[in-house]
Amino acid sequence: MFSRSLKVGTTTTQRTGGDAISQLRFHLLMRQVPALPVVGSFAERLLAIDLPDLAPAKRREVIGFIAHRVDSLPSFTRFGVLFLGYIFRGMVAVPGGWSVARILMKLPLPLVAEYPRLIRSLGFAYVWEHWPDTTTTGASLEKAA
Amino acid sequence: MSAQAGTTPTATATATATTATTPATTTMDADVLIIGSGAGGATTAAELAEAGLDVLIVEEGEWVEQGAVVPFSLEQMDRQYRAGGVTVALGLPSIAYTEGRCAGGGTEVNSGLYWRPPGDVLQRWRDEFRIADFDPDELLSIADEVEREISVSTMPGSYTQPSDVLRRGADTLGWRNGEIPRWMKYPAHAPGGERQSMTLTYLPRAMRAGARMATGCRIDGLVRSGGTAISADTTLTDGRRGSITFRHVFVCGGAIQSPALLQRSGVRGHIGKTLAVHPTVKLAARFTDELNVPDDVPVHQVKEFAPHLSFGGSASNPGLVALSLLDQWPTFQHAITEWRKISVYYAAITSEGLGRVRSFPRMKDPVVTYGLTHRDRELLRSGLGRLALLMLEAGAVEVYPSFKGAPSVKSRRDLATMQHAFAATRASVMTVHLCSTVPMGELPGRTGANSFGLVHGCNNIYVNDASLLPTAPGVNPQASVMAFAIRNARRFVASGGRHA
Repeated sequence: MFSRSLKVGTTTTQRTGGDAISQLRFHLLMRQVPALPVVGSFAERLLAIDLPDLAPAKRREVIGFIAHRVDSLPSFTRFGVLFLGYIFRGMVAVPGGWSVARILMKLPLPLVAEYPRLIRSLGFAYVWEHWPDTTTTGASLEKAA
Repeated sequence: MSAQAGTTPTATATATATTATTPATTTMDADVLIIGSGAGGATTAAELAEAGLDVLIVEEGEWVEQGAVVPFSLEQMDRQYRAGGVTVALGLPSIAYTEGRCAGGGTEVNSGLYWRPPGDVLQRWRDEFRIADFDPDELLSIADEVEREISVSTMPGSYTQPSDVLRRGADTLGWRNGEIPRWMKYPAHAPGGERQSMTLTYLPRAMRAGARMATGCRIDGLVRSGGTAISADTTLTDGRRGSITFRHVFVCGGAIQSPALLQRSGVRGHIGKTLAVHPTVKLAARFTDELNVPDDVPVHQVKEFAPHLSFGGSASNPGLVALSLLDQWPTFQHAITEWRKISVYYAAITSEGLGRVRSFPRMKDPVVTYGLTHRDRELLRSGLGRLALLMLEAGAVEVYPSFKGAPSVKSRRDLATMQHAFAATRASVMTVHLCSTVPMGELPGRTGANSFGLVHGCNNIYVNDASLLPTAPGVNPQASVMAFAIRNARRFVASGGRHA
């Protein structure tokens, strides 16, 4: 693309015809997969266990927030999170898979253990920032009283 | 060096405006391009603009007026932090870190606590990294100026209760502690303080002197001809691509983004190989009375074991209290309903470990890694134990350390159990102080830029931010960043941009 004889950085050298296709392919891989369908069911399952009394509308809002944050993760981290998200989503979907997922979550596996921790962190931060009077089961304190 | 403007850009800032938005045009030029508007970029811009240079500041984030978002809230993280504040250095354990991504950078979102660069650290940097023409007294004299400009001051009136906890606990133990001044004004209409961040100080100053500023403008890479950069490829918030031509460029994107941009631009050398941070571990402490302050941080720090180990207070809104209990939720969850009686504290260490910043082709963001040493892990263990002791002495009824498998601590008897159970790999380790990815100096093989920030092997690419600090200073690095940035900018002006 550059006709001048320039030593350019990697970003600019990508702008050639062949590279454009692979860049597009990479872009599709890295950015076009929305997080919600990948992490949503797993996040819902975690929230249902941790905060069973959280109102359904609130739960949906929290899951939307979690997906939004995953969508804005740095590219490499997002790729890793979505990769693990697919695995955990698959486990949630099959009979008996959730038991396997729970065992995996308890193992001290680097990165694998980070995934549920990330989902939980985002969810808990949202719940208590927006509804600080939430009980340990997810119910509203006023309602519980 | 000329001070004339090139083609007229349409960055919205004019000579009198003191704010900025996304530019209307995709093509701009300037004598000096400054990438990033935080502590390094804003001070550099003010110095160069006041010297009569044609300065264009570009910032990837947006301009957010102070007060527009609640401090330490998720909304603030969405609008003013990179990736919503969810960024991590991979490792065992991974270390969560945050970067400001807004006009003013980290100065808009941090605690505002001010620490002068320690004299012994400055001398060590000069000697070990061979920083030429460097007089620590000159730097401290610049620090004097900075302190006046950003109104570094102590808090009027009484301290918040979470802050007093640190003082009380340390006094009981006979540990050295004190209030850390902040870049704050305390006008009548804002008794809690008005942060004198870059959007209220150096950026308006730069723009009054004629600097232009464009927000929502990411620099994808620098186009170079040999060792000389001639333009920058940009992407605006709305996706439009463009470019900026310039004669000199100052990269001030912080210790992660600056080396990443240089790497994306094909600059080689000692770039991104020596990331230094102050890793921290946290705990939540519950007291008998309500003390939580959701939108501010304690101003006291405990420095008895400094520089290796320091204690301070963290933001403690209910969401963050929940996060601090999360690692041991099954046994700590009961505490969340009493979040008003809880505040969060940290133990920070000076680490011997190092990290790396690596950019890969076609990836927008760099991959960051960090490795703690055995000594670091032991120091984190010891730090968390001592911090828990301090909390007990300050009157905490229960302490909740943030690591998986942690027992709660209710008395001194529980401390040994807690320390025995601690493993850094199970802890929520985080940091907010990132530096040293393009260390300055003349020492071959260990520095990425010369003694004034000019990147080795380049003719007109300068770095002027936390990346330049040769090592982590052991205190909040922002004052050091500002003082060095001003020193280097003045040298640039004095030498007419020819101090290669």
